Order: sequence, then C-alpha cells, then structure tokens
Amino acid sequence: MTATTDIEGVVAAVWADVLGVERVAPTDGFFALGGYSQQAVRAVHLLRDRLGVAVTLRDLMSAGTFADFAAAVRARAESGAPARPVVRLTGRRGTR
Amino acid sequence: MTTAVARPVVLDDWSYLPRPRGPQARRLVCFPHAGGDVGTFAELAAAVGPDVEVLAVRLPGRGGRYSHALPGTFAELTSAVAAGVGPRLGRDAVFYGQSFGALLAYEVALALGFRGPAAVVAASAPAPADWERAVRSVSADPEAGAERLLAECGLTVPDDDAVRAMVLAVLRADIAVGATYRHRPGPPARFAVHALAGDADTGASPPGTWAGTTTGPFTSAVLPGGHLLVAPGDPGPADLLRTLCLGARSDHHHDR
Repeated sequence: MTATTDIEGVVAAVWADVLGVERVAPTDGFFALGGYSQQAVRAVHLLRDRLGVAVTLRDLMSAGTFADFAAAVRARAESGAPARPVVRLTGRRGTR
Repeated sequence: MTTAVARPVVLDDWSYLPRPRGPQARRLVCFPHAGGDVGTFAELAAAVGPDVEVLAVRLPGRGGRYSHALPGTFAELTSAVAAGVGPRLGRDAVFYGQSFGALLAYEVALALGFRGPAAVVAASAPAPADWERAVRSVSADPEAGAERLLAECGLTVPDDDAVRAMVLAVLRADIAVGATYRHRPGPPARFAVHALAGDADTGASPPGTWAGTTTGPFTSAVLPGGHLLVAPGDPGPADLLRTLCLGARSDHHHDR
C-alpha cells in the first residue's frame, strides 16, 4: 500500500457494500445507516483484507462518523502495523 | 429491475426497523437475548412481512449504542426500555423475546399496562418466578457463565480475539443485569402470553410453566430449534409469529 492509496475510497466502498447503500457521506454513522454488530465485524475484516492494515472492531465502534473512522484507518496505515491474518488456525485454545 | 427493499431505519436510541413496512403494518417488537443485538432479527424482519413490521429493541452497550452504559439493575432497564419503546408500539403490538429478552419483554409489557402490547411471545426462558434460581449458576461465575451461554446459543463467533472479547463483554454485562432481577408477585398480566421453546434446547424450561403469568389467553409450544429460535441468518418461526401478530387484540379494546 502506497501513500497515494485512496484509503477513504476503500473504506467508503466497504461501508457501501456491507450496508447496501450507494454512497456514504463524511458525517454518516455506520450504525445510523442501519448497520449492526455482525456487519461491523464483516466491514473490519474486509478492510484488513483489502488494505493490509490492522483496523480493529473497536476503531469502528468508537468512531462517530465515516470521517472519524477513515481517519482512524489512515492513522493505523501510517503507523505501519500490518494486519493480522484474517483466516486463523481453528481449534480450542484452552480456557482463558 | 426489482423494486428496492426499504432500507433499515434507526428510529431513535431504542428502536431499529430492520425492514420498514409502512404505517399499516402491525409492530412485532423484538427483545434480544443476552449479548445479542438488533442484527439477530434481520432475517425475521424480512420473512414476517408485509403486514407485520419488526421493531428491534436497541439495548445500551452494543452496536450503535456501544458507548451507552447499561442500567445497573433489571428494574432500571425495564423502566428505560418501557419509556423508550412505549411510544413506538402502535395498535395491538406484539412483543417477542428470547431468553433474557423474554423476561425483559414480559416485564416491559407489565410496566406499560394499558399502553402495552396485546401479546407477549416468550421464547427459551424460565418463567419469571423461576428466573432467579435458573440463572444462579450462570451469574455465580460470570466469565465461565458467559462462555457457556455463548456455546449454548450455538452462534459462530469469528475466530478473532478482539471480537470474541467484545461479544463476551456484552454477554457478561447482560448476565450481571439479569442477576439483579427480582420477581415481585403481583397481579398477573392481562395480555396474551405465548411461550415457546426449541426442541434441541437442552436444559430448557418447559414453556407450560408460563401459564400462570397471565389471565389472558395462553398457549405454549415446542418448536424445532435450539436455544435461539431467531438468530442472525435464521428467521425462526416467522409464520407462527405473523399469525400471532395478525390475530392479537388488546384486552382493553374489549372493555369499551
């Protein structure tokens, strides 16, 4: 991913895809647009996949608007932390 | 090109319409299980129309209300939900709740009195008088209880530590509130009660134990399914719920 990657564009495309909307405004909220928890998880996983950035579910839950969330994603991208792989080994991990 | 499906609408802090159906539709107000959220009812909302519209109750601490604190006690939660959802019922509404949501639906209906629903469908829950004893093992050790409940619900949680941690946190918070429920014997309800259970729900209370909760009509049934009859991706007993909604009549209408 380069400095010219259109992060906001990718985030908007993922929101539009997951939420079934045609366009997303900077002031739109994920849940205000009708999103719910399982969709939030899906959006985060899609973004990790597409951007290779370690976006977290908490990033999305804490962001008030699309603009806030896109900024959080950009901050993660610029900090350089790679995304954890989305597909992980299955199996019991014992009690925690 | 097919007609566009009406998009979900957030009415306010308390009410979410997964599939709006218009002002003529009867409202089926759905109360989620412990740890659950409005997404649980998306498939049901699609299946139960066009004359029935699902209104999913938005509880604090999850989804769009992630930053809102859950009230400390079940009684406070009941009052808050009643105040929040009461104005949204419309005529002859029906409540549907499963597990923790069944108890909440029943108590909110009682709290609303004559402004309340015509019927409450209580799924997969012990009767109110049995609730405290039934949840003792879960609330005694909330962490283990949450893990066990998660397994019982049969929901797949993504193999992602952060997501799992968030799901369990919501579940533990709901369990803690559920542990504060105190059944105060009082006049039974007048609204109809329909109690349901899934035939694969091991350890489920027999739905017939809800019979004493109302002087109104009462039915109970065991249906194919597990602990959660309605789940993300599973519309549950939509035909039955539609029938109950379209047949429901508020008792106070008969008094005129």
